[in-house]
Amino acid sequence: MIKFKLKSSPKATFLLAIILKAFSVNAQSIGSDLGSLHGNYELDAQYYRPDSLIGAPKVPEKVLSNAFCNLIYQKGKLSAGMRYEAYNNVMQGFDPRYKGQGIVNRYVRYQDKLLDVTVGNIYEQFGSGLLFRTYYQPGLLYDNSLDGFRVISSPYKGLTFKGLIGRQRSFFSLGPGIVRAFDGEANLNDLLDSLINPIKTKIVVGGSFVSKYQSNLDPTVLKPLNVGAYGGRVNITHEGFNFYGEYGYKENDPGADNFATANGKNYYSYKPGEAIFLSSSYAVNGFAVLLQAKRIDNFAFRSDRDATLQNLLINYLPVTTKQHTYLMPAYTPYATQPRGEVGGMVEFQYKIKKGSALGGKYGTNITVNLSMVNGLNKIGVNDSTTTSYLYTAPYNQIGTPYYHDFFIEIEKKFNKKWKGTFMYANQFYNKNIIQFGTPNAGFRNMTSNIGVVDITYKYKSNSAVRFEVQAALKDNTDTLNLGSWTTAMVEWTPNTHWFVALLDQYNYGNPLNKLDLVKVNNNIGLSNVFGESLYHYFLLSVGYTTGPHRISISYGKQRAGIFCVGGVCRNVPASNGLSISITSTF
Amino acid sequence: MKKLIYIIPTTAIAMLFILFACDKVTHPYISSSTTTGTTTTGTTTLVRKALVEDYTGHQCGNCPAAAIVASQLEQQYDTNIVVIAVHTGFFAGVNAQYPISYTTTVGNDWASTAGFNILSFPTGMVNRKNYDGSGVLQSQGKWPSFVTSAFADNYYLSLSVAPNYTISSRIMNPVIKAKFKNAYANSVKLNVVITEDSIIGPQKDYTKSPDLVPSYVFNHMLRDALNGSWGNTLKSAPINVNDTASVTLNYTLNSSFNDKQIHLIAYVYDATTLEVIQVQSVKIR
Repeated sequence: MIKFKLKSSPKATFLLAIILKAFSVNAQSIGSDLGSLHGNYELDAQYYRPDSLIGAPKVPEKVLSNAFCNLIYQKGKLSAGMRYEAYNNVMQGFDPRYKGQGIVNRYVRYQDKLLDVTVGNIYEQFGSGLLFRTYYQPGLLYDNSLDGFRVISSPYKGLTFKGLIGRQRSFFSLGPGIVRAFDGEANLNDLLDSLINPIKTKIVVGGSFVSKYQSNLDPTVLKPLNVGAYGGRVNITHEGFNFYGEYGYKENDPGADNFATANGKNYYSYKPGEAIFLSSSYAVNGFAVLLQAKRIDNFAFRSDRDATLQNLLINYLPVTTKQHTYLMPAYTPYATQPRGEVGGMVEFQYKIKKGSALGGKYGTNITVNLSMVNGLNKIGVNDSTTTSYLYTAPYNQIGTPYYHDFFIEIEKKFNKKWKGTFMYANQFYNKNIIQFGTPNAGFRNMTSNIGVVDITYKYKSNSAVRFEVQAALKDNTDTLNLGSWTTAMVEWTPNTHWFVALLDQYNYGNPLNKLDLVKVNNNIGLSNVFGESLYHYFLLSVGYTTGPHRISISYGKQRAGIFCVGGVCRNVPASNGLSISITSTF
Repeated sequence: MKKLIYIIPTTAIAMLFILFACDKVTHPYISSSTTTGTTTTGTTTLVRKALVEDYTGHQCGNCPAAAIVASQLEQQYDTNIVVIAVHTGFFAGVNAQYPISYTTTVGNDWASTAGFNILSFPTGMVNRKNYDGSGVLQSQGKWPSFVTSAFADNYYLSLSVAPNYTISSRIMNPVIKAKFKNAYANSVKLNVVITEDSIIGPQKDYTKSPDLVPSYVFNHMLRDALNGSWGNTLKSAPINVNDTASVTLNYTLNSSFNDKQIHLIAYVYDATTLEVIQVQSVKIR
């Protein structure tokens, strides 16, 4: 962060005066604090080489890049910010509607005891986000910011009210729907200070109401123009115990997320949506347990009823499966199915004490986790002339399995120089549902047994070599999937500035071998895009970090995949080439 | 007194909250007074027509749902709607189960990064225009709304298309005539393409089990372009009221196409914004 004070050079003072003017702030007389300006930027660019062996297509532009820069100015009760984004053109694997550049985010916020008001692009979340969450995630190119007006008020200690109105960002413009949102939260301990404060239990309750308006110019089908969603939440903590529960209900909202096709006709479901999310944890010395449960039914809430993929979502459905960081267990991640799912997760963490027989000199961490997701048992109803719910989903029944992940992870430090992480995972992945959103996409379910060994050798205080070996054992007769994979990586960190890593992913269990390739291309559906089997995907990366800057360059191959959300599919092609990434904060 | 001040914003927020309404739509869900498009008078079109493009592929299991919307629009608005189904991209690839390629150079050019950059399927466009700020490319759910908006747009020109097709030689000498009824600020281009109906072949359909429909009927399939993927300049700006333009083309129909199912489609678009400002379709025989 750069602080501008009186002592700054006349040039800097002049420049800042212009910036202040741009933010419509009354210029302060020389001698006062001009506030602070900070920000960050990031550039990702890749040079693409066509590679028919792995199915990497020719990219006409040869080089594609994504870049953004955030600037935030702060002075006392006032803050203002903006973000510039540039896609020339957007990199492969992202929505091609991100094309071009411009200032896509700007806001001014003024905060004092009475009111906290923001005008411009707003990021906000109510509770777990079940009813309302706007956020920016550059890695996914996800930005559903609300461009409008927000007011936050705390009229009494322990009470917070939030009101928002605006329209959501959609690529380089705004979506057609207007979003109105209200949230109230009460911290009972603060509110009833003298009455319940001797009690160690802390209770926070909240309630939200979110409504969207979108006109309907489709003359053939009646659709609600205003769709309301509401819900409540409670959070109870008592020493090491924590409970969070939230329920959401959405009025009828026919759209792209809930239409069905039957007998050559498209039907919209007018069934209300419902969502429940429960999370509970307990931790005492060296032991922790986490329990989560979720049930979702028709709960994609968008400010454009016809939007698809990641576009114009008002709400966020919390994840109750583990997000892995190792490559092999993260290969087939679960994606929440807003049309309907029921699932849960249980996790135990235990630290075996130092000095015990199993714990050794440094102790041992053990994590055991099981998460499961099934579909709802949707029973089709022929009610297109009455309520048009199209289905019922009884609470006491569950449908077909979508996903499960069981893993056990042991972290162990052997001595001052050596430490290791060992993991075993068993995963089930319903590819038809998770990738294509339909049971009829023609793929087999995938079961994987995964092993990970990660060893770090720290040969000097700031220097280390890390070795990683992973294997995912899969069905090697399934020609539509790719069979077993193995991965090896060496990462060398000679000092705090540099790192060099070499990664190889090897599809050793691919049932299609080189000689069969032509035959297979002629016989099997989509397999031809995955290209030659028994192929090594090498990736060499070099990175340099100094102060606020991080630069990394990598060269190699990445595998292909198909990405679908809500009935719209996109092929993310394989790629081969040089990529560069620069990030800086100031 | 201080606490009274706090009541103001709280009340204001609460009022906002109370004012929010939500509509619960009950049966019947189908509008009773179904609007039909403005009718065509005589031989000359006096309405702004809508070009609906459906980007699809025979291996795209979600695409039949979009074709349904396109054909419903056609039933509803008759000749005021012109549909083109463009088979392109990953899901239009061929293999043993889907052996025939329905892709075309013109379709691939429209879908390319230099064109409309279409990578997800199904996707469509209405007059290649962004009517509500959410983009030019839209899923089928929005096509009916966009078509309604398209009919409400300004009317600039009438377009007449005479195919002049000789059955024996399969040669066409189409004559396309345009007359501007209103002035137009930008230069406009004319592109002429052909589509074919009633082609039977395998199509993936995720609503069926198994998902392969062996005898799917493809309609409105884009087959070829007569004057390149982006056409030629029809009239340079400035364009005044009563300006006219006429174009004659020469084209030999591929022997594999069924000439009884061929439509000749001419559309005029803004060379700057790419918005389609008029479209006309005729059956060649």
